[in-house]
Amino acid sequence: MREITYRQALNEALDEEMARDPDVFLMGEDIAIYGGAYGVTMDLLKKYGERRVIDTPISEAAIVGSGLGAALLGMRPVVEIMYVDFIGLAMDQLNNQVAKIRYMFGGKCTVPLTIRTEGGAGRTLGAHHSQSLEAWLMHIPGIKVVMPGTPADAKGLLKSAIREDNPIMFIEHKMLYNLKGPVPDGEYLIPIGKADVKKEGKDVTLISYSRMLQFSLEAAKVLEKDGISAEVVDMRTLLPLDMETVCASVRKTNRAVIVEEDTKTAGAGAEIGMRIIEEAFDHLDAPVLRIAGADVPMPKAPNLEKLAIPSVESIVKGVREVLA
Amino acid sequence: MIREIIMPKLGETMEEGYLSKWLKKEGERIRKGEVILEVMSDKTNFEVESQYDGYLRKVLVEPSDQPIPVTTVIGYISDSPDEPVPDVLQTPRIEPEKAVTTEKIDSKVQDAKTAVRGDEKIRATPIARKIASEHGIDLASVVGTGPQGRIERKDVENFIARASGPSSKVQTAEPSETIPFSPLRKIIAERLTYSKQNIPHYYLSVKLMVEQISKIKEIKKAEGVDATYTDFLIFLTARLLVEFPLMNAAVEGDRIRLYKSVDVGVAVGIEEGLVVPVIRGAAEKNLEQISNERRDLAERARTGKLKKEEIENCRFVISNLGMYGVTNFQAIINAPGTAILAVGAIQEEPILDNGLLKAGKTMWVTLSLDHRVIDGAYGGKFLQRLKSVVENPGQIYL
Amino acid sequence: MEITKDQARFLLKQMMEIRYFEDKIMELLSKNIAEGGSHLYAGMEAVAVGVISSLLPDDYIVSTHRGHGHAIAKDGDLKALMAEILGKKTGVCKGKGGSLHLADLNKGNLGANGIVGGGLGIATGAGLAIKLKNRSQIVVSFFGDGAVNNGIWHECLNMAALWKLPVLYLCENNLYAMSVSVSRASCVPQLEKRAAGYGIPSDCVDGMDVLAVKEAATKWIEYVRSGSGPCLLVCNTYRYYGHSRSDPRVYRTKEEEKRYREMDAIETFAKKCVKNGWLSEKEVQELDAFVRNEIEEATDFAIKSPLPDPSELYTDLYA
Repeated sequence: MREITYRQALNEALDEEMARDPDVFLMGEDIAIYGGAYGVTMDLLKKYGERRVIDTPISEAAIVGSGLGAALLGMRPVVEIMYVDFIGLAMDQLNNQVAKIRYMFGGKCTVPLTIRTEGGAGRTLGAHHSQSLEAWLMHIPGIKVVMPGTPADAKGLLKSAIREDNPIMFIEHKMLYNLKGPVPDGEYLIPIGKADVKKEGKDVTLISYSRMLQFSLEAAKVLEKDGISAEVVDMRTLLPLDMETVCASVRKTNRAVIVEEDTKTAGAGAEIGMRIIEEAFDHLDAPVLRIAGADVPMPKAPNLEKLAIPSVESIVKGVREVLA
Repeated sequence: MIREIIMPKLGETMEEGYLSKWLKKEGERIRKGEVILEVMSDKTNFEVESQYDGYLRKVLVEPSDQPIPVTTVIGYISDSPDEPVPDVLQTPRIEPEKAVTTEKIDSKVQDAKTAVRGDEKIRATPIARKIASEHGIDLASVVGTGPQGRIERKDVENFIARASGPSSKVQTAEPSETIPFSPLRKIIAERLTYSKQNIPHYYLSVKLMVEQISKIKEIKKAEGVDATYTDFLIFLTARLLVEFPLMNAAVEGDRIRLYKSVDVGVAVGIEEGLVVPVIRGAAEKNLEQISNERRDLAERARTGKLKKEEIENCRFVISNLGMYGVTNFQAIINAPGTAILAVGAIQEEPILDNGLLKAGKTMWVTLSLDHRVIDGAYGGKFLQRLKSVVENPGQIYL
Repeated sequence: MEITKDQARFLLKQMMEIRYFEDKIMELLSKNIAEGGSHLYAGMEAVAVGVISSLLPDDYIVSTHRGHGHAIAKDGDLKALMAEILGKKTGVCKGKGGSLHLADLNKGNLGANGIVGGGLGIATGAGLAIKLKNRSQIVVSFFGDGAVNNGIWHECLNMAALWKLPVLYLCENNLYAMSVSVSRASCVPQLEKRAAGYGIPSDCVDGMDVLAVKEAATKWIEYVRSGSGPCLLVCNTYRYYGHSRSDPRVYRTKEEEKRYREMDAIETFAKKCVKNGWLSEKEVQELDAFVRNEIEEATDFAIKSPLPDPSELYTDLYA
């Protein structure tokens, strides 16, 4: 199978969906001429023209709001918020309008809007350009939250998101754009709302997503050398959560470790962990462990930044604790 | 109107039962009094009738070998075929008063969750508790190796492996077959283990001369009453039990409950195991009645059609293995009873009659007794009386 | 402005419908038959009716939290609207939106909104879609004097002006946001002047005169439809009731309220209809009785309608 980067995979997804459906158009800051802050929309302006690849002013609220308006009229906008850290500027549009309009209007409309953004630490960009805010978004009934951790998943999930008639927050990770991985040729989709067992094991279940998935897979390799067989479950979608796959794994291994980059308090792991307790309590042989981001704004210094998020070492250490 | 079908409490001491079979399907019409399901408890299958007219709307629990606590909702009946019905399995209701049982019985079936070690609650992981509970293991006996002494799955599994002896560690490389305990087998195992571990048994034996009984047996057969030796023994021991009430009694903690009605249980071997139906008021029944009743009970025991009132409240039991040629044996008392009479095969052998050697018919009987309640003299006197009436049956009007 | 008899009757009827509808809602609220909030449009009828009657049926509107008037004027079903306000399942949103979220997408009403300025993004996006699809519809984005100070107002006006989107930004200036007057909230109280900052034309009109509103609306709708880009039309008007039911209106004087009641849009227009021979006195009275009856029927329907089924709690969340 060919190997391409996460970035290329996303670009292909956008290209394919725009070719397939003339109602798909892109809107965001610096996505047209510049090709996107992280290069995801490179060359699409040339191919599809400025009516379908639109550079916007710096107006996050208007970007999301007008994405909603266009979606209500039957188009399929894919808008970009450059950094998830900026989502707060569009929060009313996202939370009060995009997420609620279908329900408030008695189901008499659909909102086929995809909001692409990216987050995560690793480039020492500091507190305003390094956050993981999925927990905020998981708390909004009416939207879905997707976070791919591999190039193949990125392409398949973005295509699914664009085709789905629901509003979807598609959160990429800035440190994964250059990650190469196998991506199938030809047309394929990855279902939203389904987790994936990326590695089978029997002693402990590592539950993760986005960049932390990659760290977890690394940690699993280290643990394997010590005879500890970790099963790695990639959530892929955080809203709705696929607890069936998670609990099936926990029933097998009896131990659950959640590895998340977002800050620990009330993070994604708090919800996943609680659901494990609710749905697989009798199978736990140890408390659910969360290995998460430190409850601080992301520091700039590279050593502090590393400490502020999980690492392969901290994951391995956590697993050993849970197996003690 | 929706009505619950619950796991019925079919006996004073019943705490849980096994669902053997639904006789009706979801959606079927049922009538009050119609048998709709079968429940297993205390080694017997009970037929459970519907209390209501209506439709069986929901079957919440399928037959399995998992015990279900009494009063758990297992299904719903509604008056009409289509009113909406809940589909949540309810947790058992809290029983306002438990049957009076000995402390020992309670601790045996005690929920592993409330096990205490000294004054502390025991720390154990959910999966450890689950496995312990499934195997009837008291967590107080398990050593935990987890953080702060927490009992983990492997601790319980190691305990089980050690408890079942080294053979359990044999790898499945050796060809073998594993048969899980059936619900009846579980009940038998539980009850007999309890009896053997908690009742101080002792055994009194006597050899009976049964020529007289044998002659009467022939006469009765000619009259149309086909009574067996067991029937005769039921008849005779029942009348004796009137004079020896401690043997027609049940032990409750530090008390002995003496019963007015003389009931005699009869051990019946069935395909799945062993059941003990009871002949009530045996002292008031004549030989023919006893024989007919015993035959009917045995038949229904074999076909699984005994009623709950026919096997609950069992005390004195007669167990006869003579049909297999067993000459004598020592039976295990059926708690909370205090005695059980083990009957062996009839043997033709030389006997001395007034100093003269002749052929005779003998039969060993062994009385197992609970030494907490019945002392040797009492038991001995009983056997003495038994021998006397067996060998001189004229004393008792047959 | 020259209009026909039929048009005159239509304008008067719609204004009456809005007025009596709102009065009825107030009554139901005081009797506790209606619950929750309600932000009433009484007094402002000339704006909704004057503007919306000038639109084509497939044009869009986006409304505000004070949206009953717009909903009725955009060919709203009185019964379904009343039922929605009472939260009944026969309501236009199945009882799940309520007064603040009345919408009827089939009739081009993209919805009332519980957030001040909440509709602006939707309107701008709708305009974008119309332009991208080369359609000839336009969008009227209603908002109040309070919304012009909210961030999204500026983002949307800029974006629409930049891309020449077919949106008519319609400011209903009823002089008070909630309790704070325009002069206490806006550095430049002549709100139409803001348009200059975005390079778009603006206009200002007496919102108590339905024909004046209609004339201005017709002109600017044509402008927007021509593809020249957005514009800002400010209608100066007045709401009789408070911001919401629970508002004692301490921020207004009784004299001011009386003054505006004397300029009542419906009364003045009715008089004009009779004066210009569009309608007779009798016809006006008949119309009045007819509309009152319509409202009674709608109320009756709404009260008798059932609440949504509990199973509706989780429906309509995702497509």
